Parts: sequence; C-alpha cells; structure tokens
Amino acid sequence: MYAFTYQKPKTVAEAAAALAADGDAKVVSGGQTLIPTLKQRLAAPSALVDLGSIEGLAGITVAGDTVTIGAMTKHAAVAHSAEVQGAIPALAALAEGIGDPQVRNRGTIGGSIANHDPAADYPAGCLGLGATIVTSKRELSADDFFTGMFSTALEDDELVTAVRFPKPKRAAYAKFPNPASRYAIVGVFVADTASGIRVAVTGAGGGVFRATELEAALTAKGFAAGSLDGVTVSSDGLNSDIHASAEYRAHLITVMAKRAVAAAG
Amino acid sequence: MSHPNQLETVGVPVAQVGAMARVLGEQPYPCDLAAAGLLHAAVLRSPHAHARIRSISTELAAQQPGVAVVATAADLDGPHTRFGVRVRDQPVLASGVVRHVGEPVAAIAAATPQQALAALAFIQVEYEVLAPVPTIAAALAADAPALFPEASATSLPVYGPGAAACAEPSPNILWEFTLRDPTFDAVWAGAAQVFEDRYSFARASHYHLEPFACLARWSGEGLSIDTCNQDPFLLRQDLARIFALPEHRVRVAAHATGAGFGAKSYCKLEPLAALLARLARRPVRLVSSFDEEMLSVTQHGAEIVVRTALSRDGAPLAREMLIDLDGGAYADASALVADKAGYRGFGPYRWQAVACRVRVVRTTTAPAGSYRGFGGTQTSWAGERQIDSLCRRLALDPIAWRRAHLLRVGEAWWPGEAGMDSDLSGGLAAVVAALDPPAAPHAARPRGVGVAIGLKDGGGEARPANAAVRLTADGTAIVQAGVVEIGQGATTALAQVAAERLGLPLDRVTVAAVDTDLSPHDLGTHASSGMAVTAAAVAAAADDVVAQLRALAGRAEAVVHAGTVEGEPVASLLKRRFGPYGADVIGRATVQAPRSEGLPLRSQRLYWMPSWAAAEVEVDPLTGQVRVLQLVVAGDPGTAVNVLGCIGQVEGAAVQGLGQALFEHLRVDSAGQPLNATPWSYRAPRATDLPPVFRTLILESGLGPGPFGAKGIGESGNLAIPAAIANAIEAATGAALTSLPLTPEAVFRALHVDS
Ligand SMILES: Cc1cc2nc3c(=O)[nH]c(=O)nc-3n(C[C@H](O)[C@H](O)[C@H](O)COP(=O)(O)OP(=O)(O)OC[C@H]3O[C@@H](n4cnc5c(N)ncnc54)[C@H](O)[C@@H]3O)c2cc1C
Repeated sequence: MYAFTYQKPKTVAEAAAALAADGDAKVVSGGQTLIPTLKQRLAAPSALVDLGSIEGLAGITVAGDTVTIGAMTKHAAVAHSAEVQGAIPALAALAEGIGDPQVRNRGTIGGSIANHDPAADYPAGCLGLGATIVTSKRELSADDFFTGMFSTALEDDELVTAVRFPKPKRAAYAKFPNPASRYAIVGVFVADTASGIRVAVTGAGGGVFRATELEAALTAKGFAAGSLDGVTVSSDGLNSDIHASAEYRAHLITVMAKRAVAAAG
Repeated sequence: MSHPNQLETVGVPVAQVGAMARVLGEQPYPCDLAAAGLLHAAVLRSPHAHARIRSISTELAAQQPGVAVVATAADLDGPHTRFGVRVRDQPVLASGVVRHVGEPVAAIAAATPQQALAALAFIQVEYEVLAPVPTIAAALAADAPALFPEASATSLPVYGPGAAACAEPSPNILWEFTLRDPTFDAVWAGAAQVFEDRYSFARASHYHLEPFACLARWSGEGLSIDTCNQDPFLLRQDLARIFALPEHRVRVAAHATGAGFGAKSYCKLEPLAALLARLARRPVRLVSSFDEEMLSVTQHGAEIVVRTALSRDGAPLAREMLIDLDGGAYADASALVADKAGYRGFGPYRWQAVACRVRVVRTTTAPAGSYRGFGGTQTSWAGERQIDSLCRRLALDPIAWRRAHLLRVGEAWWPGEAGMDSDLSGGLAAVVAALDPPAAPHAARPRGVGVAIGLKDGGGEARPANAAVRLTADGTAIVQAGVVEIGQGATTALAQVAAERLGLPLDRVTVAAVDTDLSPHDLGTHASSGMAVTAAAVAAAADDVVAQLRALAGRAEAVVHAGTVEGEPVASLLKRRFGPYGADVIGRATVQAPRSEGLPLRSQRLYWMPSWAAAEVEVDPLTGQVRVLQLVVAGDPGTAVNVLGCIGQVEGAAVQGLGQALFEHLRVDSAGQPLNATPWSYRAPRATDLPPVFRTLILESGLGPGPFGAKGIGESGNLAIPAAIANAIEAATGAALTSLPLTPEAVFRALHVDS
C-alpha cells in the first residue's frame, strides 16, 4: 500500500468538494474493493475521502411503490430489512447472496454500483428493476448509469447518494456463483415491471447488460420459464476466463433466466 | 508398559496437547520471534516464467532508508549451494536464469519490514525473456527449450531387482523411475481383455495458513535458525553443505507450525535468511506472504495412462501405469514422489504382475514437492477411476468387483513385499453401510453413489529414529524426539505412548520442543512415520527408563506404575540412590526397520495406509453443478492411540480431497503466468462446502508396526475422495470424467458436448 491522506467529511457537499479539489482523491465506503486494490498496489490515490461520517447516507425507506436505499447502506442491512423483503424480496435475496458475512457487513450499495465490477450483483438488480441512481449532482436511470466494465456515468467529483427502486409486479435473481469469490459467473435478474419485462445479466460480459432476446421472448410469449425454451444467447463478446468459457456462460444465461422466471412465479 | 492391566492412556480420546494455547493465540510461531538487532527480509521475485538475467543492479536499493544488505546470487554461488532431494538443482537466489514466476532473484534485509519491501522497487533487474515451458506437453515437445542444459549434482539410491531410476535422462526430465515384474509381459499376453485410459490430475496449492517463516542468526559458533520447517535434521544437512559448516555448527530449532501439508518439508527459505544474516552480521527474520507461499511449492499435476489387463471373467491380471508428473522448475522432493507414486500406485487389487514408468517433467512453473499423499493422490485418482469405468464397460458392479478382487490381509502384488495389513473389503463395506439410504430419485437432478479405495504406504524406507525419555527427580517425564508438531497431533500421541509405557498419567509427561542441538535424531515429519517409527523409539526409550528403575530398585520384576516402583515413590527411590537432589533417569532407544535387499526399493513397506470413501452426488444436468450429498470416509490407524486425533486427520484430509475433487487447481496461462495464485482467486474448501452427511470412520486393524499396533493415518483421508466423487457422477449420469477438478463446466461438457 502506498501512502495517502485520509479525510472524513461530514456532508456530501464537503466530500464532493474534497474530490473536486484533488483529482487523485478517491471515495471509500465499505472498502471491500478499494482496500484490497490498495494493498495490491493497483491504485495509488493521494487521499481517501471516507463517507462513513456523513449523516443520512445509510438507510432504507419505502414510500408508495418506491424503495429508496442510501448509498452507505450495507448489503446485510438490505438483506435483513423487513421493508425490502416485503416490497422487493428479490432485492433482499440478491443482497443476501453477496460474498460472505464479512463482506455483507462492510460493503455498501453505493460502493458496489460505483465500482461496477462486471461480475457484481447489485448492477443486475438496478438494471433489472429499472432503478434510478441518485448522485450528488443529478439522477440517472440505471440504463444510463452503467457504461461498461468498471465504468459508470459518474464524474470524478460526483458521488452516489442513493438508489431508488420501483416496486415490480414480480422479480427474481438467479446467480451461478464464482466458486472462489462468489461474485457472479452469470447472474440474471428478471423483473415484470410497470414499464415492461426486463432481464439484466451480470458476470457474463464486460459489464451489466440487458438480454434483449430474452426480454423479447418473455414479452411475446408471456412471463413463464417455458417462454425461453429454445431461446439461446450468443456467446459473442462474453467473458472467457479460468472459471468459465464464453459458450458455457451463454448457455448459463438462459438457464439462470429460466430459473429466475420460475422463482418469480 | 510395566503394569499388567489393560491400557490406561493409549486409546483414551484426549484433546491435543497445546490445543488451548493455539486457540487462544498464545502459541508463538517463528513469525512472532524477536531478537536484539533484528532485521526484516523481503524477497524480489521473478515476474517471468523463464528469462535470462542480463544484469542486477542493487546500488540504489542499498541506499534506501533502513536497508542493511541486498543479496543476489553473486553472494552465494557454486554447485554445493544448490538444494533438492537427489537432484540438487535449486539455487538459493536465481543464478543467471529464472525458471518460474515467483523465483527469488534478490533479497533485502532492513530495519523494518516496510523498509525492506519499499527498497525492493529500487533493485534493477534486466531480463531477456525466454520461451516459457508451462506444461508437461510443452516440456516434452521436440523443440522445447532445454531448462537445464547442464547436468546437476545428483545422488542416486541403490535399487533392488525390478526397479531402476535415472536422473536427468534428458534436459527437461528431472527423473525417471521404472518398475517391471519379470513376468509382466507373459501375464499381459495371456489377458482376455485390456483397457487403456488417460487421466489428468490438476495441481493444488498446499494453502497452509502459517506462511514460511524463519529467523537466522550467526555467532562465533556458527549458524542458528528458528523455523517452521518440518525436517530439522535434513535441513541441518542442507545448511551445513550450503554454508560449508560442520553439522554441529548448525542449529535448527523447529517450532510448532501452523500447518504445512508437505510444503514445509526439506530446504525452503532458510538458506536465504541465513545468507542475509551472514551478510548483515545481524539476525534476520524472513516471513513470506501468502501470495509468495503459493508461488514457492505446489502439489504435482499429472498425466497418467493406466493400462489394465483382465481375465475372461473380469479378474485382475496386470496393470501398468505410465505417469508424467509436472515437477515445476526445480527438483524439491520430486524424485522421491516419483518413486513412491510408481512403486505403490497400482491400487490394492490382486494383480499378478505390475509395471510402471514415472517421469518428472520440468516446467517453468512453481516447483512441486511433498504434498499429503506423496504421489498416492494422483495414482489413486487414475487407478480408481479406471476401475469404475471398466466395470461399467463390462456391466459389472464396481463395489462387488472391488470386494471380490481386493487384496486380503497378508497378500501382496509383489513377491516378498509386505502383505496387506488392513481389512480392505471390510472397510469398503463399512463406508457403504454408513451412507444414509439414498434419497428418492430426483427427476431433474440425477443422483448416484460412488466408492473408491486410495492407497499409499507409510513409514519410509528402512527409516531410523532415535528417542530419549527423561524421568525427572520428581517422577515426571520429558519425551525427546525429532518429530515436528505440524498439527497432526504427534506431541499428544507420543506423550500417550510414553505415559502408557511408564505407567504415568498423561499430565505427568511432556514432549520437548525440537532442536537439533538437543533432540535425538529423526528424519522429520514425513511419510506418516511418527506413530510407526518414532513412537516405537519413544516406547523403547520409556521401556529403558523402566528397566533402569527396576535395576535401581534391585528387582527385575518390580512393578513400575503411577509414579512408584514396587510401591515406593520414584522420587524417594531416586533420592535414596542419588542423594538429596535425586537425578534424572534417561532412557534411550534407536529403532530402524530392516532392509530387504531382494525387493525393488530394498525394504518392505512398513505398513499400508488405505483410504476408503463412499459418496453420493446430485448432478444438475443443465449447469453441470455437482452437489455432494453424502461423503463417508474411513482410515485405519492400526490402533487409535488418540481417536480424536485420528478423526481430525481423516476428516481434515477428506475436506482437502473434496477441494481437490471439485475446484482446487493452480493454473498458469500459456506464458507461464499464474492465474490464481492468490488466496483471493484460488478456491479452497470452506466450512460451507461440507456435505450435509459427512461421516468419518476409524477402523482399527490392530496390525500396525508401531507400539500397541499403531500405524500412521495422516495422509489417508484425501486419497480416495476425487475418484469416489467422479465415480458417483458416472453412476448418476454416465459421464466418465477423466480430468480434475470436476468443475461445473467440465461436468457440463462431459454430459452434453463431448458425448
Ligand atoms: C471476498 C469478497 C467477495 C465479494 N463477493 C461479492 C459478490 O458475490 N457479489 C458482489 O456484488 N460483490 C462482491 N464483493 C464486493 C462487495 O460487494 C463490495 O461491497 C463492493 O465491491 C464495493 O463496495 P464498498 O462499499 O466496499 O466500496 P469501496 O471498496 O469502498 O469502494 C469501491 C469503489 O467505489 C468508489 N465508491 C465507493 N462509494 C462510492 C460512492 N458512494 N459514490 C461514488 N463512488 C464510490 C470508491 O472510490 C472505489 O473506487 C465481494 C468483495 C469481497 C472482498
């Protein structure tokens, strides 16, 4: 780990100002991704801006058909929240399936989506549910927020402050976990929403994406696993690594999508 | 034991001596040791799989804050400075060429670990990258670059009839061992049916939690090293040669270690720490990181061809194993592993003739060395997989076939070799019987049961051991022996054996720390010899104490029990004979198993260590995911001196075998770069991987060569697991997997793509 300075701002504005003042400063939330990166000397930020002391960044509120989760909310808090379990059980289950207990009790939703690891779970939940990402500057749809592998529409001095999830008619997440980290080799989030059927895929490609062929089949033939019979996903552009080939990942996308649809009921 | 009644301490389940200190974090490890003026070391490691070192410049690094010395191969070179078992090819620091990613190239000792690490960045190494040789196939290719153009210093053992070996028969082959029964060709020619199958075995990481750690210091007297090495006396020899010292000027203090699974055997980082300490004239502590540890030594990957001849009615006739082991860049213990893998790799059946050829192939990957099972894991995988596949081809029941053709007690497949000393068929019946009745068939997820019997021998080759037992003036005892406590429970079991023989309660017996200046000589924690060999020396040394007490009491038949001799407290007897301070009574013994010159390895197997496993799996045919629903494992400790220790060993090894079966695999890419040699990316078993039904059986044959009929058990539990699980997958789905690990994608391909 290289040396850096450490700041603990009290407000979002202070944090954003600290980022704006120093282009090499970085936000730290749960530290579950950032700290290992520093330890491996893959990053050398000049300063860490810790969001841990900013009031109001953590918490879950349900109002009408919207679940709002603050950026600093831990995975475990989402997993165990009765409100989330009641409103969007698929989202609580997704959070419960992240990593291990230590990771779930440190890692945050804001850190997870800002990081946009191509195998992370929350991006699939956000994109699948058609969430709105609230930042220190604006509001972005999930479709606009995730721009590619480890990249988002966030500007250098912009922070995620919350995520707003519209309550779907039904939804489910099915993940085929990486055997080592438990990130997704393939994770598929399906949702039957007011604005249509959405299928978001993580783990398989260079970032989270919508499986339009699966969405089309479910929309045309109905929200049932059988509607996906014979529908295949192309392996073009999918990841091949020590855990799975692109062909196998393509196959798993349909399998996991069917399982998610069946689980959503 | 000198008291005529039944056993009082041996066979009584006890918690391991020192367990509480370990759990509470009070057990010091070498990485906790301090010394006045201590320096801390950091190692610069090769980023390339294969490269020539054009130049190394250390001046800048030497000027960094806190740096005391920077060492390179120039500070220590010459053939006598290389190490390795039988083939001495590994330099302390890379000399001219690097042959694997992670090979030590230079090292720094500095006032703090941070300063040492920071200064590494200032060592400038100019490399000329050479073609990598990442796999067995690449190393054997006609145009493969020669990894060792010049011959290494070697020492070949003498073999008996039937066996032969050759060091460095070609540049990329480290060692070749062959064994051939003279009747093999005739038996093979008479076979009604022959089968030939090829199996791959993926190399695992030892993944020991305590890293390599040692503290070296020099004085006018010579070199002293505190280490977590499990072979202090073998290490003493290596250090003496490397630093041109007589053995009595080298002291190795071996501390209780935090696991090793074979990784901590033979010479590891100790010479490097000693070199730094000598250059700096100050004590140096060298502690590797987990990442460094994973690049230092591994298990052997293997490609194995199994050829099996059966009679018309399916009875075993002959078996030949052609085994290529991936030895990695340097010898380490590969030559020994090769001999053992080949010699006893045929599986415990009534073969009329056997033959093998084992080659250790050099690749530009981390050196492979001792790993729990010592070649037996690889051969048990291949041999036991083939039994099931050929039974399926012949429409025979694999369990019934095994029960019909397993070696019976006393039988051997090589004339004159030690007969089987476990009830193999009974053990197989026991693990099958211990499974819960299989659940109702699941329509979408086929289920199946598989079994396997792994095999290795234990106790080494005509292995010697010394031990001493000291009875103090108050009648309590101290056992001195050279077995390093590596978590296997040797300390507890040796104390139990001594306590039993002395007629003392366990809490009146202590086992001394191991120190080559003080401890009786032993070849180390190896070959599962602690109970079979060293414990025999301890028992005999305790008997010597008893004999001396009887002599002191003047009665050859005196009852020695509970701290008394014929009713008189030992303390009183010793004061009566030696004056008011009493005196220690020191018992000594040396044991050695006999040589048998007529046998291929010139000694009989001291004992056999079978591993029984039965598994029930469920396969998801859409993903290839395998769920192990039930796993029953069994081992035979001869006599369970401490059954809790036996269960711990078999259970722990079984979980290791489960990882080997399902996911463990150290991988390199085509350039020889490790792909998952970090704890973050390497998948090791977790508590949550345990099958819902997981049972361990301890089956005591009473037939071991050790005291009270004990054998070793430490390397048995993992041997059979990979084959049992793959056999269960074949029973469930018909997919005949031939490569480890049995990952979802591999199973999926076997089900859908390859068939
Ligand atoms: C062993 C292990 C297993 C894991 N398994 C999984 C898994 O199965 N599934 C999964 O999805 N994830 C997994 N993770 C990742 C985990 O979910 C982390 O929580 C996540 O990577 C990042 O969240 P964090 O709060 O720790 O962020 P940090 O590590 O603190 O930050 C990550 C990045 O995001 C930036 N950042 C943080 N917060 C904000 C913000 N509010 N606004 C803007 N930028 C911000 C940081 O600057 C940094 O670049 C795993 C992690 C570990 C260590």
